[in-house]
Amino acid sequence: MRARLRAATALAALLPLTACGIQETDVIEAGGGATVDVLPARQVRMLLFFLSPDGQPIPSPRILDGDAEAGGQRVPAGSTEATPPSVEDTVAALLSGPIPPERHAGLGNDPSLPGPRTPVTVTVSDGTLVLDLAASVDKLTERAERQLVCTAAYAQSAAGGAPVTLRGTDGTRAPARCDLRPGPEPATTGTAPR
Amino acid sequence: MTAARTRLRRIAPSGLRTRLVLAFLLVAAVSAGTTAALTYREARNAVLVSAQDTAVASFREQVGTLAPALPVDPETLREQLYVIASKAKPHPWIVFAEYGSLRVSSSTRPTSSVITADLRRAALTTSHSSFERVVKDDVPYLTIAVPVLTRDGAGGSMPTGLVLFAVMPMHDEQAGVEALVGAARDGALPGLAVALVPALIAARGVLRPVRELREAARSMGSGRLDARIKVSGRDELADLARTFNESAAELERSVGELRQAEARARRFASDVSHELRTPLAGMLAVTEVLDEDADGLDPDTARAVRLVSAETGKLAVLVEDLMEISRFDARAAELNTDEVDAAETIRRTLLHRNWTDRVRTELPDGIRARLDPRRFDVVVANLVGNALRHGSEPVTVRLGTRTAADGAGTLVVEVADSGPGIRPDVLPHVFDRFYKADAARTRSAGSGLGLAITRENVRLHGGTVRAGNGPAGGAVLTVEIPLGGPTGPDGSGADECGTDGSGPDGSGTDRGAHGSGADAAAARTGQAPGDTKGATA
Repeated sequence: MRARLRAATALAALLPLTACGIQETDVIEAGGGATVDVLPARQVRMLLFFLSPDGQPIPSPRILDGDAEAGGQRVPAGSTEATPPSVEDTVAALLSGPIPPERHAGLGNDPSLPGPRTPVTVTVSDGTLVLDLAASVDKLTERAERQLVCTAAYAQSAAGGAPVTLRGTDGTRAPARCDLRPGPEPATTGTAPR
Repeated sequence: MTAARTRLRRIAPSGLRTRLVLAFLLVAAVSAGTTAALTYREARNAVLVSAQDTAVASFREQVGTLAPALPVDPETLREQLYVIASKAKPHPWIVFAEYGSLRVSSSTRPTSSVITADLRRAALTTSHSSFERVVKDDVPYLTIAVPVLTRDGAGGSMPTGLVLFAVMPMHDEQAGVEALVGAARDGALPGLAVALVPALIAARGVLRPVRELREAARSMGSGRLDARIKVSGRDELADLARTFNESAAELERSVGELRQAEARARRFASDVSHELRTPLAGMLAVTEVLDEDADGLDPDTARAVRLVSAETGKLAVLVEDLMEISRFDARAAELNTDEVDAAETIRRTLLHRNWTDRVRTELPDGIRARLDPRRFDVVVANLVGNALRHGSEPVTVRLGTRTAADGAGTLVVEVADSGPGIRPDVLPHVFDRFYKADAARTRSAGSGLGLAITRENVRLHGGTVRAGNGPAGGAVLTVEIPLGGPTGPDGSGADECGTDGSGPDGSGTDRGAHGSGADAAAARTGQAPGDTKGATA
């Protein structure tokens, strides 16, 4: 009797192996993503980081063009074709907000960012980029800070590796580096403007 | 009865055959199932892995050819998705793209219900490609997510926020896997059926010796001690058969010795009785003479002479009875039947022993039966004598007939006394040899063999004799004998009927039995009436 029971147990143990058909799987990693080359050369574009609806900073290049209307993109005055646009111009363009194609794709600024035409001055001290904003930095959210830090860092250098310090009317934030690796923070789409 | 039980056991669920076959099938099922399951699993995984790897690699390759302008323009992207969708490998897939709040696909619906939140999260929060197999509505889908990265011009890369998904139904793989299942099943079931054949053969190999053993044991039980089993092979069953044969041989030898010893003892009793008879006959003649002259002797001598005479008479009766019993034991007793009037026979018996005055009779005339007159005389005399000696008068002899269900008539003779009856614990032993109902009464008036001889005689007639107590309290001994003579399985009836014609008084070939009976009768007649032989109950 016990032997029969044991055999039945063995058969039952085999059953999962024989589960017929195709089973579902978990999410399985399979190599890296697809890397493409879609950014124009630094000299002819500025790279702004807007937020996707779920809060990720997304790079959005804008081609610098003498004729601002031709490319459908506004380019701040004072830029030249030979050198990359300045950090001040780039941050000012960020603060001006997304242009229609960007807005159409659901990209936008964090609400806590200072408004357009907020004066920005940039100084470099000891490899650290110091962004002086004529606005409060105390109420900047983490997303807004990421937008500012990444935009400034990638405007300063192609690799975007420089640390950035935000200094406002009401204080200074600790230096931060641009981290584009998507964080595990949950997507809260409420802050993204349509 | 035994055969029915055997058949029942043969189909019983716990039978040896059933268990053997089941065990065989179980082993076959487990091995076939395991093999089929493992093979199936490996084959299925190979099929799926091959399809998945191909799909993931080719999808990533296709996405790598994509050069979307950022920010993404949905119309342009859709065109590009069409291109990717057209290059699907190994099966057609639908391509979905997510960028910001944009949802674009190569199908009519911008989003897919098959792509899970887990896959989306993995694609949006890592820079790795991922895939997931999803079963929806019994259709398995392979869903692949590839995030698009861009080079930053300084050797690094950053996510563009664009994620492409491919959804590929795995119809072909499903069909292939189902074919595998079918093949495994179609292979395993005939395998089980094939396993049934060796199972039955093995069960037969085990059961045949067991069956032979059972037959042999049954033969031995029914007395055929020479039953042996054919020993074949060297396995445990062969050992068992060998042991059985040895035991059977030993048993046969022992029983043979016992039978020989018994036969010797019987012959010895018979010889002794026979040897005692002749000197006793002489002694009887002498004691009769002495008896007649006893009156002329002085009283002490006369008493001694009478005692010697009486004891010699009893000895003669005992020897006669012993010889009679010996003949029954040796199966040498023969029946010489004649068609007689039962009432007349009984009356003559009572008359010869001078019991007519002491015995009440209910003897209807006209009952004719095939009887051995001498043996029937002994039966009636023993029963009546026993009743007179151990019961109280009046003793009643009733004669009657009974018709059995099959129409055969039976002669019924009842001998009833008015005594205290027979104790229930004694009843079964009344007809045993030398049985003493009362241990204190070691000296009996009879030989102790009377009722035993009665039973043997009745049996020879094919009838029965039984003892009981009547409603009034007295003992009732009932003899029932078939009217037509013995026709029982011993088959002696026909032969005896044949020899019956050889002599008018039926003496025939009874090896002097009749003569000895006559002697006994003469001896008894010479005795006091109460001293006829009888049981000692």
